[in-house]
Amino acid sequence: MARPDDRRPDDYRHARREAAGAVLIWAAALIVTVGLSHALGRGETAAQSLWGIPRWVALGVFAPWAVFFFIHVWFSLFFGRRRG
Amino acid sequence: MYPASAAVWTAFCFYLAVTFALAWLARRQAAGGNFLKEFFVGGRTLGPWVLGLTWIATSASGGTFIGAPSLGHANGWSVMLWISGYIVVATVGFGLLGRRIAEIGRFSDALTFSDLLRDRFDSRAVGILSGIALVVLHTSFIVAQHIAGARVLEVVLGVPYVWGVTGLALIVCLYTAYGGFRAVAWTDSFQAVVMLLGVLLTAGFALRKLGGFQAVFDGLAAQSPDLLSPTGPADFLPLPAAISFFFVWPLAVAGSPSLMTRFLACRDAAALRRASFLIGCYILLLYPAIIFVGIAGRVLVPDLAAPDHALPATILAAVPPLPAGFVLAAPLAAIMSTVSSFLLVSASAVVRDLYQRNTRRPLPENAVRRLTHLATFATAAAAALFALRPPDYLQYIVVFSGTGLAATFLLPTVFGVYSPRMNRTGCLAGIAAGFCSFLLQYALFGTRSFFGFDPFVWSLAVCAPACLIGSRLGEPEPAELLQRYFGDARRKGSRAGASAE
Repeated sequence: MARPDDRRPDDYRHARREAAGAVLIWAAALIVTVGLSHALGRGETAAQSLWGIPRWVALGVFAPWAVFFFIHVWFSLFFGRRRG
Repeated sequence: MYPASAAVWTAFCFYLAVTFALAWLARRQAAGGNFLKEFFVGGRTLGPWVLGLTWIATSASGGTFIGAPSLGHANGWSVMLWISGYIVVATVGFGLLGRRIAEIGRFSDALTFSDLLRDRFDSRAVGILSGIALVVLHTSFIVAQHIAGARVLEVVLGVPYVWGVTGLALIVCLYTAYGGFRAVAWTDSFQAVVMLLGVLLTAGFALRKLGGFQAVFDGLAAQSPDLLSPTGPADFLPLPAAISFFFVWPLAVAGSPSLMTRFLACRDAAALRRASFLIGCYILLLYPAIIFVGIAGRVLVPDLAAPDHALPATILAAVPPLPAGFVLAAPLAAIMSTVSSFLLVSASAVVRDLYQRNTRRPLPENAVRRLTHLATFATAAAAALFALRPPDYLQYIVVFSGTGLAATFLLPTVFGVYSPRMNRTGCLAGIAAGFCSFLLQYALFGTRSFFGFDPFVWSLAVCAPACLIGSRLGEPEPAELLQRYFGDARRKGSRAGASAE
């Protein structure tokens, strides 16, 4: 049934560090994405195109998405592994 | 409204045949042993591929495939900012609770979300309260999925609404009751692949038909420059709403009980890490593409019979007949995968959380099996009956079961699994505060509460202090319970507890 002995002593701390890391990444993504999109999409500049995509979408949404994707790859594959 | 061709029927029947074949194979693969452990968490043997794909297939519902493209069609590129919280959905969805819940599931043998909370706080009230909330809200969400699925079948294949609801409920219920969690996870995985390929094909065909991104840009600019702005037409997405959705998507997903159950079923930490990586890739491909389908649809088919027809109309306008049949299975796949997962969570809440754990008489395994199948069929039947004549307040319940469940359970769960200072009083206070504040705001203000933020944001802001104050006022948990969950960290400190709180 319950198997408390299966646990490694540091599991709890590692999980907590991972949770804190996830919250920090979320906060950074929120500030960068919403901030950039609204800054770039004000007034006349909203109608500027970059390769057929509105400039504020290309630089404010797609570019951060690409950057945070690589951060996610590092976070999911390496951050947890090193700590675990 | 749209012509049903033989190719569409053939593709749809092929899709159903593969779904049933996978359910049959999954049942054959069942490890045996404890029925409940096999039926509700697949024997805790899910590897990275199945874990990742079942997680995303459960998360993506009819709303994703019917509602999101419709918003793209109505509001243009602003919907890309609306959905941008998905940038960190995989990071937050797995990073915030995944590892800890998987670990607790292994040592506590929790089979359901309510098990997890009930055992952590050693409280029957917490278990029963969360069980009732899951049954009521998940069943109502299934009703909404049945309605969406039946409307897709009606529009695309000409199936009468009543037959659509009945057929969809029966199909999903059969393979869920037959194969349990493992069948749901395997069919979810197949459905996730269908969803991704369907959306990518549609986006590709639409782009080719229109002649590239610049043509889409010019087409939208000719209709209305607002379709190119971050706020959209009629102030669809002002700054507070954009910030709100960055809370709503990642945190509502992280706090969804049906997704937390997935972590209880994972094989080990390595499977969890790889699944998280896969989901990041999947989301990167799926979500921008599905919004783009709606945006391109605005240029391809500017006038729709109903707003919800954006996706099927774009498919039929851009995709050739044979692939169109396959692609049209994508929204049904999204609906079926969500319904099957929610059916399982509702059945487990009835059998495990409301009955088995509150009765002193141990049930033989055969009786548990019969009761589980009965609960699955009863939930499906109730949802189908409501879907035939949906109540006026259904939309409120659907919104609540989407974000309200997370507003109610996310912080009590996060504090509960990370902080030794959190106790049952804090948990109950957090659940009550999250639930009441969300419901009250939604009833009074709709989707825009104080200063234009979503009720979800304010509910979290109310729930956090309620957890802290409740924990201060309540009795501390017994030392052995805390030792079991937090080990040495509890003794060293309060430092650990304080920082998590």
